[in-house]
Amino acid sequence: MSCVQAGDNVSPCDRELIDATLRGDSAAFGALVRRYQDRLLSAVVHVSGSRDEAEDVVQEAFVQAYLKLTSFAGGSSLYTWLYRIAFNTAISRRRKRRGGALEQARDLGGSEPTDETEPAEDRLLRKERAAVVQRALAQLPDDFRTVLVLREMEGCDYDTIAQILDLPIGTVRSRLHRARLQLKIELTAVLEDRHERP
Amino acid sequence: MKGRRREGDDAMKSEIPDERLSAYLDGELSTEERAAVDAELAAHSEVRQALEELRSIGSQLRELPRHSAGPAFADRVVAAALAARAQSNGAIESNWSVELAPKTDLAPSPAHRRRAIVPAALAGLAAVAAAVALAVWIAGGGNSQDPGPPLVQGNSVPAAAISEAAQQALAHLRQAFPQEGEAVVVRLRFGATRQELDAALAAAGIAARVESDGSTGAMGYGKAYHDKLLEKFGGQFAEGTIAPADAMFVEAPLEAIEKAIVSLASTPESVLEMSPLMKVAAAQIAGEPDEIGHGEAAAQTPGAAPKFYAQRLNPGMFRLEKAGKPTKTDGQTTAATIDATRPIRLLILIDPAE
Repeated sequence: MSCVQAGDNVSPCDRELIDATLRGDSAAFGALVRRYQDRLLSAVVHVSGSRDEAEDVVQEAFVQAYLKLTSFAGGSSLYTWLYRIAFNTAISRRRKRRGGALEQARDLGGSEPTDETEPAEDRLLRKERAAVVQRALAQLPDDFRTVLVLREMEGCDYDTIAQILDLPIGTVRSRLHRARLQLKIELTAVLEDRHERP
Repeated sequence: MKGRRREGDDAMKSEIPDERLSAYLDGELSTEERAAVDAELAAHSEVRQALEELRSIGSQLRELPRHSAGPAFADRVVAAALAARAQSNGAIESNWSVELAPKTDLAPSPAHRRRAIVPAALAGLAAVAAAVALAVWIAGGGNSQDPGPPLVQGNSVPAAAISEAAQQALAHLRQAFPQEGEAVVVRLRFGATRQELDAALAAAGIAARVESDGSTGAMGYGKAYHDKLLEKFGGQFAEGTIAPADAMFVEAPLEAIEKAIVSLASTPESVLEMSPLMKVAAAQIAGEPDEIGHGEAAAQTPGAAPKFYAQRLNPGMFRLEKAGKPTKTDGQTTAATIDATRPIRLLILIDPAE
């Protein structure tokens, strides 16, 4: 999976659906939603820390995009624009409730790639590793977690991340590096905590 | 050989900034910068180790499960977007207005109670092509065309943003406001899918319940309707009635139901027709307690989510009079008070006709 990069123009398919939506075709808007809902949700889940919260955020982001669609000039890809709205919404909602890291890592669920040849014990180990990573990720501050999700999970380049988060590229670069180092520390802490528990 | 060291290794620490290593991993360095890091990697084992650790972080993150929003998500989003557009267009004058409360404000609150006086005499309703969504009771005779004074101030839905079909449906709904302990039965027809209906109700804060959730209230009102219809047809359904395409029981405030109607009939081409059939009183249902406390004495726990729901019912339990047969009203309704925040009960029978 790759992030549609900031330098990309609006794809012809997106352009047609945008134009149809602006003409009042709600089915076209539904098609746009279906095109991007899963990618947005997967990204926002790890920012919000909750599947339910992420669904609310993504729905709210799409509604905002619908209301502001006339102002979307196509200077970036539609997905970059949607990402920006979604991440701003997610962070804004979190700051209204509390600041800092997520209080606890919850089982966020999600679907894993199905490999029927994978031995059961390997699958369990992979799930265990995922739980460790989710827990460590939840300990990071919002801005660290956000850049990591965009870079590592969504494949966005620095320019796209800068556009989405409205940051200078230099800040993206330094923040991403510090986020990686911090996640490494949190991973170690989670693993040590698990070993210490009976 | 043991002890042999590579030239430069450990003799001089790497001087590349740590963050440049991250950028190297991400392919974000210029050609010159990349060449410098390549040289450092070749010369210093700790740099190679640091790069591998950064690479490992990314690999672990990319192993995290992906999420799918599900097939109904887009429908809910579209319904919410249409409703938001209707609200954002700004209030304009019209001969009536509807206040659409935010999803979280649907619980009854004295500070936000809205009331209006409905004319005492309401006209009877002509049976019309029907289907979908809300059960509306229009009781009594009189002038059914005048929905009474506007109910609300503040957030009003502009008439221009609502189709004519929705306007008529909303007017009927206001005219037919059921009293305490009453449920209204109506047939409706609209040109949308069941998914769009569910999405519109969900966006209005009305949760979907499947048949197995089984509220005895829904079944009780349904049986009372069945008995009254059977009585009307002298025990013989077959020739005078048809089976509905679908059925649901809704218990939600008027304002939420109106919100759902608006989102279902948001374009000029939207088809939405409703006609009331009859009213069923709670007293007819033996031993059936109120499921939701009404008025100031609402039994809801402070802070608890409102119990507003739309429950699917087995359409095979119901019959609809064939279109064209006039319906009789079930007595006169005296001057009534509309409280848009109080949950009302509706039995919806969906007309299978096009």
